[in-house]
Amino acid sequence: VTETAELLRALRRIRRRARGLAALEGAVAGAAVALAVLALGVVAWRARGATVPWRLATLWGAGAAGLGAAFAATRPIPLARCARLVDAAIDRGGAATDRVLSALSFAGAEAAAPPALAPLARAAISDASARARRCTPALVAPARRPASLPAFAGAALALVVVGAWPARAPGARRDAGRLAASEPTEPRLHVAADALEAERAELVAAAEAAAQTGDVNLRALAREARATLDALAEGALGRGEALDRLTDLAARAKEAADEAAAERAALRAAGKALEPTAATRALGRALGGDDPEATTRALDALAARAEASDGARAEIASALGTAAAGVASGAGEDAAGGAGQEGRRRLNRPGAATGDARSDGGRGDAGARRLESLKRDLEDASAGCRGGAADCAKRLRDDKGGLRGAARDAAGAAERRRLESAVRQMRERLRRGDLEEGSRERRFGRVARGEQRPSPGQKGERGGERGGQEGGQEGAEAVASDEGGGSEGGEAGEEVFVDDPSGDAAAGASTKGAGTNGAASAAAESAAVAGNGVGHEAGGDPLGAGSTPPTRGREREVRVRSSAGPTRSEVIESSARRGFATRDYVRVFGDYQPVVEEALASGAVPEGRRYVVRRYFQLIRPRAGARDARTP
Amino acid sequence: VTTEPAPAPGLAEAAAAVGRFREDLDRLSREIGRRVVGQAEIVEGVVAALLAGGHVLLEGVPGLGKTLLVKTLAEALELSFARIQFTPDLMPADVVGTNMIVESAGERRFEFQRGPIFANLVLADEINRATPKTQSALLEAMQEQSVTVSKQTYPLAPPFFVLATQNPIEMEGTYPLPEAQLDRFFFKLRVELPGNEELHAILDRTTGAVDPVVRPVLGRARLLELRDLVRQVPVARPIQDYAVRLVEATHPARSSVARVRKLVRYGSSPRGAQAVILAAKIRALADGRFAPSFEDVRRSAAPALRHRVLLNFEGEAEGVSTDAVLAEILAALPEVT
Repeated sequence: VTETAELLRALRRIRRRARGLAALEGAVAGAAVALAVLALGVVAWRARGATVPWRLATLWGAGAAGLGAAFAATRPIPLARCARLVDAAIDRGGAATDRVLSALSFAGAEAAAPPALAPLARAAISDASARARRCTPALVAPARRPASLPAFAGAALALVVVGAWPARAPGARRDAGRLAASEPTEPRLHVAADALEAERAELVAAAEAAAQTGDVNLRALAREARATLDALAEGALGRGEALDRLTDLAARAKEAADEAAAERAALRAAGKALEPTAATRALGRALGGDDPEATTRALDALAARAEASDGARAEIASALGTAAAGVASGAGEDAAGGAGQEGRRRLNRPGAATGDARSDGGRGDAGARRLESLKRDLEDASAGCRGGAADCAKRLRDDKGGLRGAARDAAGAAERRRLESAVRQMRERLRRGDLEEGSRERRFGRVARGEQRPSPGQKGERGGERGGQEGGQEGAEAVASDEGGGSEGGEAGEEVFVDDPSGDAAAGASTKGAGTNGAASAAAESAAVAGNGVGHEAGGDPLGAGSTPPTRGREREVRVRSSAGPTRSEVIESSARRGFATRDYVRVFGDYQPVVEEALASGAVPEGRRYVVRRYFQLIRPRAGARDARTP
Repeated sequence: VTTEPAPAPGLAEAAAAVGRFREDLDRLSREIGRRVVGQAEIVEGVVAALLAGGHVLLEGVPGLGKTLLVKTLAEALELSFARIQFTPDLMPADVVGTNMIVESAGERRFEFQRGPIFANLVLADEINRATPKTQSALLEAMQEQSVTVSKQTYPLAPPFFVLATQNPIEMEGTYPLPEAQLDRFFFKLRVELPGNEELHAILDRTTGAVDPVVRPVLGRARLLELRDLVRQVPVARPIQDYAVRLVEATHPARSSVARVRKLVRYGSSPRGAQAVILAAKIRALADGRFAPSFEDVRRSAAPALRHRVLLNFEGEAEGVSTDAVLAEILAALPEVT
């Protein structure tokens, strides 16, 4: 028992020594951590331009060191570990014999089970106790350099460096930040060459109409819009700059269209006022029909009649006065209320290729001045006819240019409105991001899927023709479905889409089965001219949201069911290109389009949906090439 | 630290017993060394197995002095010695003995004729050449220290020590020992070729005119006393725990060593742990210590466990030795958890 007590006493001495060393180690480690944190804090302080509170920092470091020492010193140190330290000291330079550890184990067993130990166990305890007593604590656990001393030195060095590093004044940093922020950063906008095909066609039509009618204003607007479109296609504009230019252009186009609409309304009112009188009936009809040539002829005839008869001159004077009043009343008329009826009337007129449109808002100052001028001209003519015949005829002939110009502007009202719509649509597409290159490719699989599927009833004809390979038709048949109606190859199969992280979905698309190359090449080619897909914007993707499989930079096959069929935009587009692009279709389209514009202008379609309707009619517009091919 | 402390009063007897054990072992080793050149580990292992009451399987090519070692050991210990050459036609009766009709005083009676196994030291040479039936005749003798013939059990006089040999190269016409029989061997020792200097010494001793004479240094009674002393050696709990974890680590289902899980089919039986602890005790006593250490356990692991760890097909195909697997286990096993 004495030997056991001696052994335990020796081990406890070792433990006290080990605890002290651990406290030192903990203090150094805590100080190292504190200095590292302090270095970061100094960096933050100096970055803000604040003064470093060194006294607080010193207290913080000392506190952390003390905390580390306390934490390390209070950690339990089992006697077995001390026994192993003693064993290591005893066996230094020789094989490990574990005498003290074994003796400690025997002592523990003796304490737990009182029966006397075997003689050899007691001898082992006695032997170990004697050896342990000869080992001083300093020999067993010698003082050594703390393991965290290099970390402490590194943290201290870092603190010194960041503390002594010269820092700039806060004002200089603010100026530098402001200068950096003022640099232009807007990237150029790259628009696909074919993305603005519909708008370009509208502008060409407007320019042709302007040349035909001599509408200088419309021609200038069309030219400016064309220049903006070309700049977009060449990538010469940023998105914001392009939006600004298109917004300004749309505002001016609207003003011109409103002006023309107001003049037209005024002329019709004047024409109504002139028709009851036999002498001025022809002029009234000419003004109501927006015909500048007929107006000129009617004015010449009217001047001749005024010279020939005093009675006729009085009737003319009275009718012109009534017409001047009608101009004022026509200008105040609510254009939106009559637009639908007029549009429907035009719709029922066979062969009408163009329609009417009325202003959907208030008139501008220029329009008001123009109406005021027209009214004054009519009043002057009326006053002149109340005088002599020569004066009446002269005034009628002098007024000829003003009424003819008004008639010409009124005749171009529809074209101006179409130009305005085209510019607004272009701006809206730009705002929605549909014009930017890659916007379609970013929609996973849409382009590839759309181009690999034939339109209803075509059975892969497009893929075969456009791909220029026989496999194209087979490939298209393999993925055709009957959702769109009329597809003969509509058996459900499997499509394989390749999720290409670069966004080049069309190039990476492939289909299972024969004709893969043909279909894929057709997809790649026609993806460039495909529309954005009305179905997507109006009601969401008919096939559901595209998935984003975790490819991690590698190609991965995604299998989807092909029973979804072509999207609505695919059906519409392919129909417009080939199925309906006949002469009758062109005529019917020409009848419907103005009605749509009227409906859009009248507010019958919610503002958020107007873009979709316009885009729909852009997509189903008859193409020049297709029309020529199918028109007999 | 280097000064040897005096034993405490009352404990002198234990210390003296350990001292005498060490002296006897040294004398025995020296005496064997008079005739057997080198092979210190083999001699040490054979003596340890003898003191632990176990048996040894020697594996090595012929001509390495296996028989000489056993004969020398028998002479040094003054024990009876028998050698059995195992062949395919060897029958169990040839090993354990048989009842024979003996005519005496005009009457005939059956009398049991003892076989060669009734000796203190038995050399079963090329044991894998005998049929399993004959090999199994050794089974009862090795484990039970007795022989049963015609429902009659004959005890074998202690100490009973079997030293079996087998040739690891020539496998044609052999019958590999079954796992159950392998487990009954305390140690499996691999006899390696002697080195250059040892070979010179062998030639000097065996080709000269003088044949070294071995004197008896220990008697049968003293040998049994030493066996008793070995059993009295205490083992500290951490040391024993280390041995237990070592044996557990040889089992693929319990081991944390990847190579064990991959290459081992079966791990050691509890007999392996017994052998490790007993061998560690003997090493401690031989070193003059009262209790074994971790190092004693480590040094005992390979001879005690190498034949108890069975490799799977993958291990066999890759030519991995169980010694290599055990070395990995020892390297990965912490002494104290």
